[in-house]
Amino acid sequence: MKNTTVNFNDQSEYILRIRDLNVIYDTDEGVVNALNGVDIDLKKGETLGLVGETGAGKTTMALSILKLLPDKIGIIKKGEILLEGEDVIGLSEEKMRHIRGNTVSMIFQDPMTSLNPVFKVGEQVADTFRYHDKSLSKHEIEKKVDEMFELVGLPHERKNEYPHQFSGGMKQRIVIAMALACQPKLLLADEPTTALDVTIQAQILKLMHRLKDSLGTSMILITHDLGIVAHNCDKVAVMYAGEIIESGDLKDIFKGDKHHPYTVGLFGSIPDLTSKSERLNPINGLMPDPSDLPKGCKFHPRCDSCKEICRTKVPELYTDGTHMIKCHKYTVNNFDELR
Amino acid sequence: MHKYIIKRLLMLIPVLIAISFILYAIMTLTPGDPARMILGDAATEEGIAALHKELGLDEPFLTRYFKWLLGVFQGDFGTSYRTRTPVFDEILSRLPYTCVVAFGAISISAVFGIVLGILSAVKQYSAGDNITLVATLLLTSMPDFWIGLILIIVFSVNLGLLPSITGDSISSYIMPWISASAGYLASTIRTTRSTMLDTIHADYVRTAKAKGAPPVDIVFRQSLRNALLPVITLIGINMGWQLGGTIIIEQVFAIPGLGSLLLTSIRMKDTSVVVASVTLVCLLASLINLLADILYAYVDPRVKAQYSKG
Amino acid sequence: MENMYDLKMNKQDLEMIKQKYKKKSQLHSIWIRFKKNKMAVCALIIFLLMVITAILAPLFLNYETDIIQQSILQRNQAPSAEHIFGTDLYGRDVMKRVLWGARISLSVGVIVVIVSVTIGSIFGCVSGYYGGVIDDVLMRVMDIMLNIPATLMAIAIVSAFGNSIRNVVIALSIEQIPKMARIVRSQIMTIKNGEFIEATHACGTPDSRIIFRHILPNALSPIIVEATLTVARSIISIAGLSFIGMGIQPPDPEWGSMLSESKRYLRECPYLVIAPGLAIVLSVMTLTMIGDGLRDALDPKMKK
Repeated sequence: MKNTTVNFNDQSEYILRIRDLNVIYDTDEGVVNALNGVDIDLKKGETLGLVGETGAGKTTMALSILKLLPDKIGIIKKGEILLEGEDVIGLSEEKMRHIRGNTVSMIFQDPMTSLNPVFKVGEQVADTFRYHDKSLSKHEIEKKVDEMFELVGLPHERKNEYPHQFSGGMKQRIVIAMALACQPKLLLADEPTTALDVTIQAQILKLMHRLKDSLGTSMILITHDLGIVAHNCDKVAVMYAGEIIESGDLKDIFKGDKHHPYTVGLFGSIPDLTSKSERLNPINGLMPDPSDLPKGCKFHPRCDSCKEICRTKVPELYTDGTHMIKCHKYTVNNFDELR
Repeated sequence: MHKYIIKRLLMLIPVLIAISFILYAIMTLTPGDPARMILGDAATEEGIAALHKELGLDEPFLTRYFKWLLGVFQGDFGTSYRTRTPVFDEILSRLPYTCVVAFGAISISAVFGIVLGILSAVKQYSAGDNITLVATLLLTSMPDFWIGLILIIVFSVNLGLLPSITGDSISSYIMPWISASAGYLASTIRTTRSTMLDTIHADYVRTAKAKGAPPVDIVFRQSLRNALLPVITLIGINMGWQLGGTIIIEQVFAIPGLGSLLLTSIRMKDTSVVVASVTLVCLLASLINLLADILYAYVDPRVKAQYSKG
Repeated sequence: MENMYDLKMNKQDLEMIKQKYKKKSQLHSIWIRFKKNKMAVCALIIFLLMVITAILAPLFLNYETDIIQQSILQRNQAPSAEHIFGTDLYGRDVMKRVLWGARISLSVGVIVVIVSVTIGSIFGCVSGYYGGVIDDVLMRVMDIMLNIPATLMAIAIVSAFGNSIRNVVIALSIEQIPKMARIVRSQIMTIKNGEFIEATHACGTPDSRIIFRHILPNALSPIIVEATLTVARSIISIAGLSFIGMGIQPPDPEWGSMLSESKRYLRECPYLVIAPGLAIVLSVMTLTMIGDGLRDALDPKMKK
């Protein structure tokens, strides 16, 4: 993988550019195609909402950016991940360690198991500082830990307690403190509120939003909840079977009239308390088996608008300004008249 | 936490009394007359009767037991029928040998077991790991006394390197230590390996990696502390087993320890010696397990919280 | 257009699929998983050979002449073509004695397992099902039994009540019963509270069906694994007891007592130690491997 540098204009604007990322899992039971050509652009300070069902490849994508895929099993087959212009794929493990927790941080889904049960929480936050700035004295680190605690809304007197003494929401705050300690440029949040109560969810998201704004951090927010996307993100990317099948600004996705059939299905399956509806409209069928993906358009077996061409040919990209849709419907002339 | 410890210690007392009672009953109420065995061929009916009176064997079982128990609370563990010396002295003269063998064996198994277990886990699926697994399987299948016999043949008989009878030199303990530790070494390796594998794949280790932790930190700080917890418990249990199992090793290497005293005393129906020794071993085993539990609580704050609630 | 991901199947198709999977009963799939583990299968074959030899031994060996009869002329002979493992201090062929010894060790092991599984299961079932005070009391008793180092307890029982096979079995069983009881108890408790039991209740399944179709198959797995390992442990325990003279008495060719006899002649006849020891190692190793293989085959959810 070569070390690519994009031209200067792009470098200053974009924090992350991913091109044609292909990732597989080489398991005992066969090869699993987790990511099949993912493209992402993220400008500085932006928040990208990455939406999709379980198994679409969202977590895999986040792990790939940090190169935290399972050892020997998760393999980046091809593509580029340009972090501030530098291709991460070619970097050594040592260089990656400088990046993790420092330039790019990640928050995982389940706060109950994300913290080490035998260490004090203050110490775990201090670790992030210790790993990345060897020049700090013990005293300085302690002060910084206190600051982080205040920042996430926890009393710094509690830093000598252990994880089991905190609730789920508080644990996630500690996780956020650990992630933002070194003021990373990019934060990857993998369903950070899914495991929490609905009431706590809003708190945590508000906190993340506030911190993000004050620190100028870019964020990729992975979620399956379109409501969260609507309230927290600038851009949206919809993922299906390891591909981005639709992306765009918040306006494009929520207010636009053209959509990928899958996106329509996603919106349709959100319970809407305000309108009267008889039943939910789940999308027929299941996500395809990633070790045996359909030919042509990967969504075609479940698509109501499926035509012959969808079964055989991979769709091209339809673009309209910031809005991108990967569907034959918009790229093929007279689509509705086809068989 | 202190309340928990005291509670555990207090609960030991009825258990130990129960054990001593059962043992005393077994020794007294089953066939076999110590007086007859002591007098041997020179036994006459009058001689036996006289000896009965002298040793207090003519009294009913319960009287004898409670007299003995009362004595224990005053520090008198009775007198050996066989040697007429206080049981306390007998046990004291033998205990050091048994302890040296037992503690030495467990220390070897703990240290090497943990180290090899960590190596095996970190280098999973490697040649070394597979060899280790097969080796542990072999070790658990070999009885400790057989290992002892083979060691004697190789190192004592053929190579003349190590004395086969254990006495005062450190080198005389090497073969007993190796034989006694083999089985526990295997179980420690297996347990450490399996717990390390579990913790290395735990979510909190993934968090540490995402923070940029170096590999040394991941293995020795983040994972190890958690992985060692079940190992601590295992070592405590092993120690208890070891104390009970030294009998066999002592026979192989002619060690003048508690085990051989026990064996002789059982054969001669020397009640006080048997009851006192076995109860003592049970006490030691229980104390060590308590120590292991305390150490566990010290390392794992969740357990500490549990214990503190009482 | 055929939507192949359409889940709306008709009832007939559903029934057909159910039938297909019923034929491939649980046992079949367990066997398939077990077969994948080559080492375990190897171990099983070797162990079965041992068992067959042990059972058929009286056909080609005569107890009186081959095992017991002493022959001063032949004593302490080194391994040769005639006596593959040599002869012992009484002139008896070691190989033949070791083969006969398998009968003793294996049969004691099996009896111990039967006794401990039966009694342990009863304790475990009662404890797990009723809970409360009964559970507390029983578990206390089990704890006390576990607290006494096993070897000591066995020695105490055997020495007090006499050196017979029956007492050895009792002693070893007492050691195993608490372990078995704990396993059964935890299985019963887990299953009693398991969500899928609630589901079966919700479906209206009769109680007997619940017990036989759902509870027992799940509870059996760890019991079977533990049973295999119990036989292995028993073999070593008997050998140890006999070694110190507290178990099977001579002239019966128990492996442990054979090793005890050979202790006297370590210098002159070191080869006497080989055969009985190898027999112990082989039988315990194969049993352990079978046990591990069974554990992996019975519960595929557990990863290596």
